[in-house]
Amino acid sequence: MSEKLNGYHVAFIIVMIELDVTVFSLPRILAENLGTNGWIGLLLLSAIAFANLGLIHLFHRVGRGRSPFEVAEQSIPRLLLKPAYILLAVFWITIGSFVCKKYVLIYQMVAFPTTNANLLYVLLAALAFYLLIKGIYNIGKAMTIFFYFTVPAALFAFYFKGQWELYRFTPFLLKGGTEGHSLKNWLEVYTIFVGYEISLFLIPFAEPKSLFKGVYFGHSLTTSVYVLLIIVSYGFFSFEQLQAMMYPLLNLFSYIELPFLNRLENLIFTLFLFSNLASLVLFGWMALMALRRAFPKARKNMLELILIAASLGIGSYPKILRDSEIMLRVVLYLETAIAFLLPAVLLVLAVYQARGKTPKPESGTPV
Amino acid sequence: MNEMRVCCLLLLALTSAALLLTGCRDEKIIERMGFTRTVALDFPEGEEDKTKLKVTISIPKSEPVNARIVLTTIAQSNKEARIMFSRQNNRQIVSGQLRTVMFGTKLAKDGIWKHIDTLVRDPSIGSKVNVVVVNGNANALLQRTYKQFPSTGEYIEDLVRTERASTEIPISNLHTFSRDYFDDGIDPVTPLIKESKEALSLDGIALFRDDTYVMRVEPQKSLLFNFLHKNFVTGEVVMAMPVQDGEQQRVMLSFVASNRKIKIRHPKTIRGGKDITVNIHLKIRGEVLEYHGKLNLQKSSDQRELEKRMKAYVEKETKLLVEKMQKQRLDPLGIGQHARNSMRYAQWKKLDWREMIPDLKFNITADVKIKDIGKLQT
Repeated sequence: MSEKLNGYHVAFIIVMIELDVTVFSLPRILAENLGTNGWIGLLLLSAIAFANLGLIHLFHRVGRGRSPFEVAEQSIPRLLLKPAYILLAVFWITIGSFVCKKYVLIYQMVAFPTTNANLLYVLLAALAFYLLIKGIYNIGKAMTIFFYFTVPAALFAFYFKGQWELYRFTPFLLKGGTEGHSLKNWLEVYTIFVGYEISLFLIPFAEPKSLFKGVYFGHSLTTSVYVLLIIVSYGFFSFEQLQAMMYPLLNLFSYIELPFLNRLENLIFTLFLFSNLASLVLFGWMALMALRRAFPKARKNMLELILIAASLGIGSYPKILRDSEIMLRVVLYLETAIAFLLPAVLLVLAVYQARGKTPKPESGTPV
Repeated sequence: MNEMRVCCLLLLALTSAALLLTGCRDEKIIERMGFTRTVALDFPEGEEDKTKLKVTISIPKSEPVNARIVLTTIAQSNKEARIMFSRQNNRQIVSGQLRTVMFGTKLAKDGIWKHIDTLVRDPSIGSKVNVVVVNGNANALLQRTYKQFPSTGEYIEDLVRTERASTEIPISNLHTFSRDYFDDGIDPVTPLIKESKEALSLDGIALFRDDTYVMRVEPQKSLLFNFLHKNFVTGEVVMAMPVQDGEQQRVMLSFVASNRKIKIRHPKTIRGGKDITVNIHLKIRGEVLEYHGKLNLQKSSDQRELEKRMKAYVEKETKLLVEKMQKQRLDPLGIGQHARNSMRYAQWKKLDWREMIPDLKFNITADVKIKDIGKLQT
């Protein structure tokens, strides 16, 4: 546990937790909710996420590098915190599970129409278990590998130069969304960034100096990948077509034909298994941190096992794609709220504590 | 050490995943599959029932060379036909390698979106599948064998691909068709092919209004259509100009680069199509390697004269073509996309673009230049 995460690894952790199966429908989600030139809206939303990260950064400063759990436990009685920890743990593992299940359901549609979806899910969960018991330092390294498996697929964007036309963007700014603009529409788009709040829990595990460099870099990288894919999609598809397609990126990749290979979308989608596994592992890790705080005396690997078992149970619940999408959306809305509220509450506590007595010099000790 | 163990475990888990999955029902043994390469869809001949569909598929076999299986059935839909084919066949019919889908004229004139829809929806089908309209009966064309050529399915693909490279025809596949179908500022186009005694040939370009085939551009006019349709750089084109000085003039242009610019002008309030002026400027550059006519191309004054004649020819003929398309309320050139970009969103949404097309005012100007005349002086 003495090794600390470098900013480099932190960046990949942030990218991998933000990037998940939702990216395949992202251009459609934007066209539906924000309308024409949705990439501008995405940049605005990314800026809001940056503000949220700033809040976490501020907490890091004011809390002097203490873990969020330490700060919380100093002011709130443990009796109250324990159920909160358990609730959060259940919630986070639910997000990870729903993300993975949605991926598995689409994967089933694309590649294995008659294979049992739960079987595929069990395989993912088994991988997640092995990663979870290795601790965040090794997870960070695995994420680096996963990153190189998935993100370079975005470079295929340049393949579409010949079929890409600027005039398909239209000069209209955020017009033509299917329901007009509302908080709900913007929120739905915002959920594609969900996951960056993991930086709050990385505080005790990363080098204090490079942590937030990595976090900001990771988030910018995700935003750039999203914007690149959206710009390609908006010029390659017509606007109304984007709104009509379920997973525009699958169609986009299915257009690629290399001399030795075609129907590349199957390969790329399979590689995206890793980014969804990453979401499961990282949300699982957040859940694990909360559980460890609730049950500090649990046996080694016991909590990990319980989490994965829970994930199997939760993951088997959405059985069809339609349900899976609705459930995932609901938990992501909640998580967005948590991503803002948690650091805000913790910041208040940290400020309050700093004003009172100076905290005991236990900063930096890992949980 | 830890890292190594993580890696090993990952590897182990992945291999076991692969092993486990192959044990599932989704196994695909190539020898037991029939990969549909080409599908032809049409209404059955001599029947008025528009709910029935005659479907022919062509499945290439590896041996002997150019051998293939051709199956035909009558069904309610393409998918239902596939089930029927599987029944007749010792192989499982799959469509992951589908390359071309052909529609007969009768079906195309009735609208093809519902057939394209099922193809686009099917995750096993890619989006680069060629969409072709057959001038005549699509099923008969696919059933025939053309002795001198590769198996018919492959033959059609090659034909479409090579002709596309020389830009006789625009790109048309499932993606471009649905893209232009959904877009409110452009109409889809596909190549037209027909069978002759010994071979297949391109028979111009099919223009669609939404998803119904309404107008044909003859092969002689395909080039002019392409000038208007998009920018391109191509190998060779022949410009057959009308009789002048008692002789038919033919110019063979090589390495042609054509560039179109569209400018839209209109007042602030648009009352009808008459208020919109569409300026299309074509810039065409090419090398003249073959010329039949009375001009002496060694003289630069005669080169200039030829340029002038070509310019007049292109301007006149494209204008006629555009007028024909306007009469049919067609916008395959995507003028609507440009018009849309020239106004406010609410204004565009209020317009009934389709009904305005016949009244649009077109000004087409061409700028044709001979780059050089090859490496012979006299």
